[in-house]
Amino acid sequence: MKLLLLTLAGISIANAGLLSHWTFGKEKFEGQSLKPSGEAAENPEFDTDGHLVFAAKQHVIFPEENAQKLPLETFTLEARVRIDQPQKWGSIVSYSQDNGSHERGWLLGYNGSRFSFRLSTGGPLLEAAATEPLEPGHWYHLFATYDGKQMRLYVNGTLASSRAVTGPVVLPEIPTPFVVGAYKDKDEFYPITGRIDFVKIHDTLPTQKELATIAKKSAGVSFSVRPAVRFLAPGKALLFWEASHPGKAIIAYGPTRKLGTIVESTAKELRHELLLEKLQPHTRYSYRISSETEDGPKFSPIYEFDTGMNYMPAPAPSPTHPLADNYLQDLSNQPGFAIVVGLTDGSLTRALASQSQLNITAFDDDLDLINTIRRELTTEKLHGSRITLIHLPDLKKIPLTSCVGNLVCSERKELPCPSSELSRLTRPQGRTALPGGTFTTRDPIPGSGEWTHQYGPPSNTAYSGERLGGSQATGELELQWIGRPGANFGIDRQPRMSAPLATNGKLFHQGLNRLMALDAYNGQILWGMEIPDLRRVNIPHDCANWCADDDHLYVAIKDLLWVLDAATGKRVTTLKLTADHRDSHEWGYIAQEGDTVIGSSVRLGAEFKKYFGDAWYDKVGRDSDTANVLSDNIFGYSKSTWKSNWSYSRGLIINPTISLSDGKLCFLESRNAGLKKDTSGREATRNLWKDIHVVCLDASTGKVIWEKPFPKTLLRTDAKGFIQVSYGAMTSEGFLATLSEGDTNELGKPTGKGLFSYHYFDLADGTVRFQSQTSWRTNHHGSHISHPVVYEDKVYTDPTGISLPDGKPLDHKFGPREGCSAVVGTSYGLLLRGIDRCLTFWSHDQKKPTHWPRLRPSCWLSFLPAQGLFLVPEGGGGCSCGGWMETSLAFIPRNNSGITGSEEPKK
Amino acid sequence: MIRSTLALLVLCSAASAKPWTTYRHDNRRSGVSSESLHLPLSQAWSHDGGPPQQAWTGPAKWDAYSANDGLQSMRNFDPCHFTTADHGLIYFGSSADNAVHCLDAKTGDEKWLHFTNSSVRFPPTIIDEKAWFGSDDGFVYCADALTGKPLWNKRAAPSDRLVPSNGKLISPWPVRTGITVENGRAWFAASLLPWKTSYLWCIDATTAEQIHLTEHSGVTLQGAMLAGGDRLYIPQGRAAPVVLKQKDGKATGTISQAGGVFCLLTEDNQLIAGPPNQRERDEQLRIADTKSGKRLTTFNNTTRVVVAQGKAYLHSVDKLQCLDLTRKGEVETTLASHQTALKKLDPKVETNLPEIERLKKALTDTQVELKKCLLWQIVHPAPFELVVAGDQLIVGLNNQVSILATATGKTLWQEKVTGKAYGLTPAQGRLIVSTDLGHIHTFAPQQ
Repeated sequence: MKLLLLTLAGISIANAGLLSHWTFGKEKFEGQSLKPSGEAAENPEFDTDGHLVFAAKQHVIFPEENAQKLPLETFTLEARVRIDQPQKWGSIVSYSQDNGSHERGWLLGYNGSRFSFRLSTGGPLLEAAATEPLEPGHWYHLFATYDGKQMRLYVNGTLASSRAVTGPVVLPEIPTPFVVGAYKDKDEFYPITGRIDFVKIHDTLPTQKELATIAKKSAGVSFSVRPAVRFLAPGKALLFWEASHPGKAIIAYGPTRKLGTIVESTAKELRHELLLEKLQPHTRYSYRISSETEDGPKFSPIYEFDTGMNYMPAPAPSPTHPLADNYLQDLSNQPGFAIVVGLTDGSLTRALASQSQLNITAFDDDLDLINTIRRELTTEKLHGSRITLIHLPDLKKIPLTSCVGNLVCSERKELPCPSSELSRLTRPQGRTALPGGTFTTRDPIPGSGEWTHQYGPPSNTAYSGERLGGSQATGELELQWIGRPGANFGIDRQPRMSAPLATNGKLFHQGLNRLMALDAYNGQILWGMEIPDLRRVNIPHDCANWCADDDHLYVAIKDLLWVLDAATGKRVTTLKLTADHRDSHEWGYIAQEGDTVIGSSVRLGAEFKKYFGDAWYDKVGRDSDTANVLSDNIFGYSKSTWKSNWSYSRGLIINPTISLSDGKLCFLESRNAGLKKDTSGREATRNLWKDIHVVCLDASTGKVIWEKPFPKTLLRTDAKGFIQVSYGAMTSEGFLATLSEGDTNELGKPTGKGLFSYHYFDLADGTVRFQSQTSWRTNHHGSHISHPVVYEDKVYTDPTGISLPDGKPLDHKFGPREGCSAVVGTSYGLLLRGIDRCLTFWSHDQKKPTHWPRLRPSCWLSFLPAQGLFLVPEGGGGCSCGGWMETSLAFIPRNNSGITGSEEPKK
Repeated sequence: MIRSTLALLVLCSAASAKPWTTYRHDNRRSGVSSESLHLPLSQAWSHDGGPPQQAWTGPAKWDAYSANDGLQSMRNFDPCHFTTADHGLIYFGSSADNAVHCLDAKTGDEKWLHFTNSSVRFPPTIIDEKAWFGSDDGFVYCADALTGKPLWNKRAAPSDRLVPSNGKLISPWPVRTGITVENGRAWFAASLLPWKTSYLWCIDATTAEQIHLTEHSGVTLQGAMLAGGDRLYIPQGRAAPVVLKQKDGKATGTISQAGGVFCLLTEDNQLIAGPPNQRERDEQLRIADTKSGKRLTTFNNTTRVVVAQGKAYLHSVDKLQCLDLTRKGEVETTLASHQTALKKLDPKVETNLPEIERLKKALTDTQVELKKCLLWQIVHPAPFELVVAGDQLIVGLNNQVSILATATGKTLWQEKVTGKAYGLTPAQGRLIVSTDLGHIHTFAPQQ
């Protein structure tokens, strides 16, 4: 089947308010003159469709007075364009000057591969840029609108970016070209490569109906469950999705955006699964799904997956062994790490590899035997990949830290070491197989915690009870494993993304539209999935898009919750939003406890996706990037039935405040009715803080246990101050609302100073136990949006905190905290980005920090104390500002590591 | 007796052919051999060594906050199974199967195999019929280069401890610098974690007795060590290379203008290295003065350069170029002095005007001279590796290897290979090409 490129046939809004309209077809030109008023800079050339070719230096100039007559506060730029070559300073239509600090005018174009709308209200050109990259060679419909308060950019009828701006546009004061097809000002000239069908200028804004019409006509293929790719084996992956209508689908994929390979999926039902084989290693593939509809073929955007993230083990063909089945029994068939201490002939080791996905390392003291087997395995391309043999003269003590192996055994009938050594090497929930058929399973490390949600437990305390073996300094932790995933996994420094999770021996980590499961104890990658619609950022002003329990990983993707098998990544089921929100909302909050899964609905487009450019999300004051994401409702599902139990809907729930503990669900809710009606689901205005209530629900029924009006905040008044960020957390006794409140001057401008205010409500009845405050240390690099670490007896926010239950300020500070990351707690200290902007361990006892040089975490939370380990999946490698390590790793407390004595070189 | 006969045989078969005894030919990692290859060549054999298992993943896709895309890897020191060649034999260390392999240069038959307990990331250094190599297991090994017989091994790491890493076990102190044998001394480092002490060893290359052992904190020593003058230079990936004294192994500092793991020393001890960091929007190599640490020249849009007899061969944007580096340095010095002199003269002082005019003209003339330093350039795809063999420039490309005339840039010979040609070893009359897919192709003169 021939694949057709998606084209839009002259879609435009009605001509209401139309001030200017230019088309660039062949019929409009006489020589270089464009009717009615333009002039092509070069001799015009036209493609076979009659479109003017914008290439080399071609552009069209219009009389400057046309631009000067345009309205300055309410206008719409509309264009239909095809960009063939992304570039910096790409301009479709502009009337602008950018000369050092002197920036004036407006511009609709693209910057790199993102459509962009810029304007100046007297200062620098302000930008609203699309988060998704444009696809070269494809037609797009663009609206850039300004109403004197907000600039908005719509791509194919859908809001791609918006930005709060104040005042009329200020035009250039010097002669300036009014240009289509190039950026041109006093001293700069950047022509574009592509086609422009038309440019229109209106003095009105498009209506919702008009936007919807364009969005509908522009829409591609629709999904009931959106696509993803899961890796199966080297060179092999599964592409899967569910269509909204039955019928065949065509998939085009290849190692470039030209795609290439075309295959057909003929699933009779909605679910499609397509096995992709013979994929090249270390290659970023593009793919597109299309389907036939009554309106003709519909196409998905071009998605990507990267086989460089495929770390699944290769099959190991080899004979079976009578013991292998027994040894592997009760171990799930997933990748892992097996240790064999003592060989006979290697046959059991080979069989374990062939009958499982385990990576196997065998130790033996007979070098000749080892080398013989090594040669055989090398010939079979197995040595060093699935099986590694290590010569160790003395097998009594294996030079590994404890808790490494999923399976630990021996080929010999008589163990060459004490059985306790095999047990020591076995990871929690792992299996020790002793000669004679005795099997033991290791218990969890005493004092180990579970990090199942963004801030540890669903109560958001950033403390999971992890004791880390009593460690409170970096020197008391030893390397447990090091390696993948590396810097190519994530979004450079994981800008305010969801934190990794760790539970039941697994570590889950999110990257750039991908997620991965690892064995927490040995770093073995268990499975990986590439999900184009996964991304969510600005978590401090929202909530994470995932959580986990022992068996499942729960991931919010658009309007659904994907429930994944934690061991394999296979999708078990999907959960839907409440019926009234399925077409208009996306899945927001996600948490689980006991048999309950909690979700919430946020309005389409409210979640933050932007990460390219200045996406720091901590600018002081009310800003579009520091707006809170709000939920219109919250609801509960039962894990045992996957059925919805209840829903609660009243005001606007402030996502970062939602907390769950011991069957109680607490949050802050704005009951400002006007706001609920008008909000986009993302709110930075002070209206959010009118009529705020604290609500406590029964998490299993949704019934209100108590609700209270929120007491007056400490710094903010109706006329002054602002709330920078708000967090909720729960102890066994209370719900703690922590507000970061900034001060403003008489003109409403932030003074740069502020405080954390703490409001503690009795969990039983909502009584206010106390309100107290501590001052901001500073107002940048996330210091002023510091998430609290909540213990039963104290709370820390940068740089100090309060004691519980009385709310009195602490008599000490922690730190230094440097860089943008959050802080988490262990029983004996705080972990943070500190000294030299590196990962730092601050001791509760010593009140002193120690650090790991060159170990850079992400710009929110990429490290967690859990599972008896300190887990540090890669989070900062894309920060080009330092000599970072660019790797994932884990530490084990030296106390639990099995390491004895000092480590010094033999001289 | 057998060993002596074997040595004689292989020596005879390789008579008059120049060896390539260490990574990138010599301890300056120059990538320059004095002997040209007899063209045309044809493939004699190829060997599938299995896909390399690199120590580090690729770099981040971009620094999104800085809107800086196309970040460059600063740690890809092991993209292929690099080779050395001597005695009619070809050697490579494998990050895949943890062994050093020795192949017959003529037939590709495996002559010997020496396993270690983890990945070997650099080819063995061949000195005095001994093969020296380090491993991720934290040990350094020495074997008979002709037979593979183990001679001795030494633990460079402070303990036997191993940790899981990418499906294997490695020492927390792997040996990832290769072995540099200079003036009868063998140097290597055991290093990885900046929060742990790293160890630089110097032993007698004949007796293996320890000469120095120095401890270094806050460093991660990875990438092929270089030696020049009385100094050693060890790359650190994303941090600047460390400079150490050969006299006692003590560090004297870092070269802040340098970075990455592509490093070479020119004959006058200038360090060419890159990429210097990930902040630059263009790929960059810089030349730094090793004494002052100052930057002398920047090559933009460049990832590989080779310098032979004062001429630099490099690729920039879409062109392969030959620059007269010696002359360029002289002209740039003159240019700088003119610019400095001009800045000092106040144009409002009338008596300065004749001198200002003279300097302006001199500047114009010097800029013309600077342009003349570009000896030739041709449109050419970006290479993964460049080396020189006599009057031939050898270029490693994606699925191809080419040989060009150093004098003109004219293509003399080209052939297909499987994968990206990162490793080029022109030695003993043959061209050995290592690719990212693990293949080793050997081309020999046609009979």
